[in-house]
Amino acid sequence: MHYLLRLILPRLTLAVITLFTVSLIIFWAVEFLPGDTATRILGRDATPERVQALRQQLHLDDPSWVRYWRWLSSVARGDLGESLVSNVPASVASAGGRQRRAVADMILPRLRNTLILAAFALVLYIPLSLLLGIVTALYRERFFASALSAAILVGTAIPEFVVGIILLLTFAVVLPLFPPLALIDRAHTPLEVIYTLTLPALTLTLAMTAYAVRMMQSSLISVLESDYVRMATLKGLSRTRVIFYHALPNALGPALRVTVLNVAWLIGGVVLVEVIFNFPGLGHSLVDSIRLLDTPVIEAIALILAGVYILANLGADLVAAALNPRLRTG
Amino acid sequence: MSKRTLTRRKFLATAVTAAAGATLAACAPQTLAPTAAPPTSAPPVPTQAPPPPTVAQALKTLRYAMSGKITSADTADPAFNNTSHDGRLISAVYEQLARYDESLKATPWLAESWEPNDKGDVWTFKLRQGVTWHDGTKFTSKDVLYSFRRLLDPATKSPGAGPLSFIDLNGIEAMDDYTVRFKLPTPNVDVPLSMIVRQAYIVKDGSTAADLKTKANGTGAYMLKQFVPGEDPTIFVKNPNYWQPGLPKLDVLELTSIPEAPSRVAALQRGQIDIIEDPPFTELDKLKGGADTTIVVQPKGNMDLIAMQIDVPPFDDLRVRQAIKYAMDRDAVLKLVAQGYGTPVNDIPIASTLEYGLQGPPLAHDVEKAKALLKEAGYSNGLDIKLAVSDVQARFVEFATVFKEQVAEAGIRVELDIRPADTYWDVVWLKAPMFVSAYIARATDAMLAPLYLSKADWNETHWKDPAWDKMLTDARATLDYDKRKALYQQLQQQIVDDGGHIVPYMVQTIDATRKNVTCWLPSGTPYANFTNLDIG
Repeated sequence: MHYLLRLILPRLTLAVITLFTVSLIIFWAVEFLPGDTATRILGRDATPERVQALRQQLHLDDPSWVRYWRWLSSVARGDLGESLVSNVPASVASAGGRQRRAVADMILPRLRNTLILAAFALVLYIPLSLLLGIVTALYRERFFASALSAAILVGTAIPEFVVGIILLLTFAVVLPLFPPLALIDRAHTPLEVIYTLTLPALTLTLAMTAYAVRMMQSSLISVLESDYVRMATLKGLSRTRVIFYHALPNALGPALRVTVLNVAWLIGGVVLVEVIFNFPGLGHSLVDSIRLLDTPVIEAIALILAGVYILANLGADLVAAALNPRLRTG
Repeated sequence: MSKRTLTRRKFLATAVTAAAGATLAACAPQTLAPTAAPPTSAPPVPTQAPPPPTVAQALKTLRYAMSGKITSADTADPAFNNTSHDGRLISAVYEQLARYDESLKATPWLAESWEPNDKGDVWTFKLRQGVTWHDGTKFTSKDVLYSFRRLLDPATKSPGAGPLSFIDLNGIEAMDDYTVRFKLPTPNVDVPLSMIVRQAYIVKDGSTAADLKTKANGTGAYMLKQFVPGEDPTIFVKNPNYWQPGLPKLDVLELTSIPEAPSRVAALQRGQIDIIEDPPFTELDKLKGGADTTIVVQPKGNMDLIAMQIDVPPFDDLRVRQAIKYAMDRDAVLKLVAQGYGTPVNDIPIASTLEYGLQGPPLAHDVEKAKALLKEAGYSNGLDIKLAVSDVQARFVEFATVFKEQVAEAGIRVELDIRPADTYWDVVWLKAPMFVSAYIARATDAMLAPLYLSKADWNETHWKDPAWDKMLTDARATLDYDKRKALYQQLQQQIVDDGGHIVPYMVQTIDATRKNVTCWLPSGTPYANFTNLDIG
């Protein structure tokens, strides 16, 4: 299994460098945005002297590199720091000496919610896009497959928040099957979680599936038309064996790449879907922290997203290596 | 079209009367002590706490969805009451000495009565007895002293210090446990009214900033059970020792934020939520006629406006300002932007229905006059101006777009400068020469002072006139009601005639509720009142 180590180790080293670079870029990008945390918090009450007082309180007067170093060294110790903005909630206020909320406390429950939703969406997405990809590739000359392809093309063109609103109005209002608000914090049994999350998960699935199916379809078609598949068919192998054993593993590559992008999107980019179903996910936190220029929170979420992206890519490489023996040597 | 308008008007008229009159009268628990009446009767005895509900007995829970976003900057500290979540949380938990009645006059609340001296510069407040804090201690004059001193202390940096600056920090004293005396540097006849400020809630003596940020020990009808800044829901439970017997009627009040309008409406229709704020105008007929839903209309609400800085060309020319005001068709803008759910307002964000409100019809739409004024000011080929706007608040962009189209007729070419919502209050508002802004209804003086005094924090139009400032001070010191009213109206008239605000309308505040929700009326001001609210 040493090829696995050869595959993973350099990537992990690169990952650390990437994360560090991401943190640098994010920090300086936030520095260059107009206004600062103090003016964003105060809003219409931002008189110069009040802004000045709040700046001092938040240590925004320190030079930026000092603040970056302070943040970086705390992260290196495994502490994501505390929010510039959010006060410690009443329930835990008596517990510690902190004035403001620990970034980890703010983000981890939301990350958990987001991961549950993402997992649910992926569980629906993988079989659905595989199935549709195979069907549209195999029966590409039949009318129903063309119609399906056309429908998928239309699906690609509809933004996910429109899909979300349509699903909301159809399956929560006109046909009251599912709840409009995805109140995950009140769902305790797995069945309740599924009931609560069906509509947002379905929205995400539809948004992701369209593109993946198109990739799957086109690569499967080109593989099906290749010489070795024709050879396998001529040898008299069963159709199922040809498709699932010979053709599919080689056709999965491009779809796998799309899936990696989709996973990264599921973790941080689904804020519009979160808004429609009032889902307390990571996207909300990201938008809120950017609006308030709450740098430690923005940094933490950015690192999580970059990390997810790196891990998903690594995972895709491993799957690709499993599917294609040629990648295991060399 | 005309038929539709007619039915809507008729319907609104009935809705308003029903809401403001019959329903709420039935909901009011008791008549509070009248203004300036000495407390003759014995102090009200605190009622016995009702027995805790047994497990079998369901808790009476109401779920309330606001339209504003929650953010991690939300706070429970009244001194920094800022976001929409802050306003609702603090209104549920804390109370002020006085509160607005329906015409925005001051009515006693934690104060039982008040009395000025002959000059109006010394005010004595008698406090309500038998009021307790949520932690069980007694509410006394010490708490009032502490709260006002904290707000006025420059070290606190409370935004309330400005509007409360008519009070002298060192002139507040407790005469006894239930009497507080305010000595003012200058006379002010409307002190109870002027004290109704977003930040001026009474907190317990000695509360530290850290205590107040997330914990809330108030005197209000509800106690704060769960509040995490930026997380839904915020949960309140009944205050069993509330000083108004029989109130509140709910056991649990849950506050959630659902900024997305279709989701908010769907949640109400499906019964996941019992009250929603700001249903879209297009959904009102459906919600009103729904099997389980209805709507509640409050005539008071937001006033969208355009501010021109009157010391920046071309707005430094009065004729230009007047031309722009004449060029706008106020009835049409109300219909287009708010589908007619509102009342016209006369270029100052103070409705005619409020105390001291300016009477008379709004400026007539007169394109010819606008053109003539522009020509006189030297813009015979038309005028080019830039209006900064953002979708930071509902209706802003629609309002600006309609304005642009309307004034084009008079030869005024408006370039819309659409700016990001994140930084609008921060880098555009008060800084651009012409921008869109809005205010929610408040009492006359409370609107005039922060917007038009020379040193006002929110002097959007750069209205700086020492004579006007003095007249406001004089009005506050005028004991005779009619003379005071005349002065306040004169102050407003000057702004309407010469000022830089264009305020075409006040939109109604409309909520939609489940049919079993009773005794609810949105306030249309920054102060929500959940005290009487009930659900069947």
